[in-house]
Amino acid sequence: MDPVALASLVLVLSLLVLLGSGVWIALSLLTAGFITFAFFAPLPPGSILASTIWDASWNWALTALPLFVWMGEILMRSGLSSSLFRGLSPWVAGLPGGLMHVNVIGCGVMAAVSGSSAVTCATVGRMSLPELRARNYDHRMMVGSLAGAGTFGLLIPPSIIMIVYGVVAQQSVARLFIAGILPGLMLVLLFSGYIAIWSRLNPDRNGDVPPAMRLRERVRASGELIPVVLLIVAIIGSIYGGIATPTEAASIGILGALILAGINRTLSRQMFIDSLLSATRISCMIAFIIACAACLSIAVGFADIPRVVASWVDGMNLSPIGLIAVLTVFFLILGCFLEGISILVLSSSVVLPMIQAAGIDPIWFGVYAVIVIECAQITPPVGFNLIVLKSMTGRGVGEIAKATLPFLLLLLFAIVLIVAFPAIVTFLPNLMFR
Amino acid sequence: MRRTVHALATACGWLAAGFLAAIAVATLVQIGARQFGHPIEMTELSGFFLAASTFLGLAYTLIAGGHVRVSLVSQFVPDGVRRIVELWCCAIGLAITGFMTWQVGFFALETWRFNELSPGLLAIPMWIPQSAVAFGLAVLVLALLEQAVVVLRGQEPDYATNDDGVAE
Repeated sequence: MDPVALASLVLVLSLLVLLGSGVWIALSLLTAGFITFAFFAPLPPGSILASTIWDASWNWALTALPLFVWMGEILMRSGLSSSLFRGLSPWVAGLPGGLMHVNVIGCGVMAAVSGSSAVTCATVGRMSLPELRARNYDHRMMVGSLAGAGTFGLLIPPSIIMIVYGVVAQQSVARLFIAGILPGLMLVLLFSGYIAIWSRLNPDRNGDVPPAMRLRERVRASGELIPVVLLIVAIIGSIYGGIATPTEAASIGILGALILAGINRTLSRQMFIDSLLSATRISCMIAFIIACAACLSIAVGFADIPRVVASWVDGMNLSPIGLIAVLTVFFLILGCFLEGISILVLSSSVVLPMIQAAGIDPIWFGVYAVIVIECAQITPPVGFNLIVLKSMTGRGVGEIAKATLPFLLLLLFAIVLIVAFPAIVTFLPNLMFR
Repeated sequence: MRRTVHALATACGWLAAGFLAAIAVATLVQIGARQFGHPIEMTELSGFFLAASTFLGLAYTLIAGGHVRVSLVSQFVPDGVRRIVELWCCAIGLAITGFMTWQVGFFALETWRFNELSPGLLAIPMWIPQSAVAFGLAVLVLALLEQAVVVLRGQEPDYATNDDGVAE
């Protein structure tokens, strides 16, 4: 057998056994890297793995990650849930679908200050689920739209997963952030449009709408949202204008989030410590996965797998669209078992050379990959948003997944749109500083 | 022994949290200094803080159930089989982290011996942050060992319950 083929086989088998038996994802990647290195690289693994894990763990671009995680954790505890609900509901009450739109637009706003889909989903849902339930909204639609819209956290900047992609693919995190804006807005429109059409088609299942407010009252109700809007403008504006790096924007964001919590009178010593410790655990988990994936990548590289796979893909003469179609299916299958970041770092060492060989823009691919991973967040059995909503509603994962299916299809439709019109992704970053 | 390991892991967890906050502080200082016309470069230091935060937090995150895994098999098999699966996970974890602790420790020793300095203006000896990485891995080894003993005794390991409920 050809050594590269044998190495690939051993790699895939060891990953399957390790991940499947429940070994922690980071340690599975590290172990698979060690095995591949030990058998298929011409050097002893020890010193190279040690220097690789070290180099991957003090990467400066990665310092934005724990900061954005912390900021999200502060905001989640800052009483923003109720401000979002009160500030948005008077504006959407008149639309077909009524307060259901709070889920979608609330997630869009929350996504613009937090980098994770679980935080987005949990923060918006904490207030909107009980409120919508009290007003007799259709339960399935309510849960489905929240699980679907929660995934905006990944796409609308800031985004944890884009930082991870930027680091593993060596792309500018700032440009990736900016590239996510238009597709994110497009998804907000798609989701809200679907809710409006659905409610017109099912008039008997609409919920109650609160009495309409006058314009002045509406504006007053939205006043609570001003700090959030300022925070969004400060973060995205400073990155877009090239004034601040993502790390700097994140540390300003932390300051802003603390001030916002102070305004809402939710800032306490306990809350500060809880948010910091929670952020420590989450960022430790993610950064360790990245460091271990770097070890896997270097082992795979020494075994010459990426070059062979890339030339194999090249030899198949697949069109870029064909390649994207194949990768979408591949990612969706992985998404049934792994969460987003693991999918990205696990596949990067093999997939990124393919993308380069096919001549696909890496920024575009990053946004594409994020949307596919959004799908993975809502596919059972392992979908983080489903698990978050399971703990919030007490319903089964299967039921929630079924309710979310239309929104999953909308996400897939969004992929078709950005394939057909790549400018949706590339327009804004191309306007940026070089 | 359990109590010592947990205390050590928690202490390292707090240290990790401190380093995470230090990244924010260092970056804010960098922004402030630039506004006042005294640019100072904190990016390298932030990177070292990140490495320290990640690795010192490993054992604490493990015990809190924060490291993600595919828990399908261990959820759906009978208790006896599940114990074997959990032991296998701990054993693999122990083997690879043990190996890495040794290698990274050796690596840090080498950079100390050659007195390697960081490439930035601060020129920090590289062994300092590297030894935090090695130490964090060593604490993870202890925590895995302790969890394996818990499983062997037929109890539920701490890592099986996630405190956060909201990961990622």
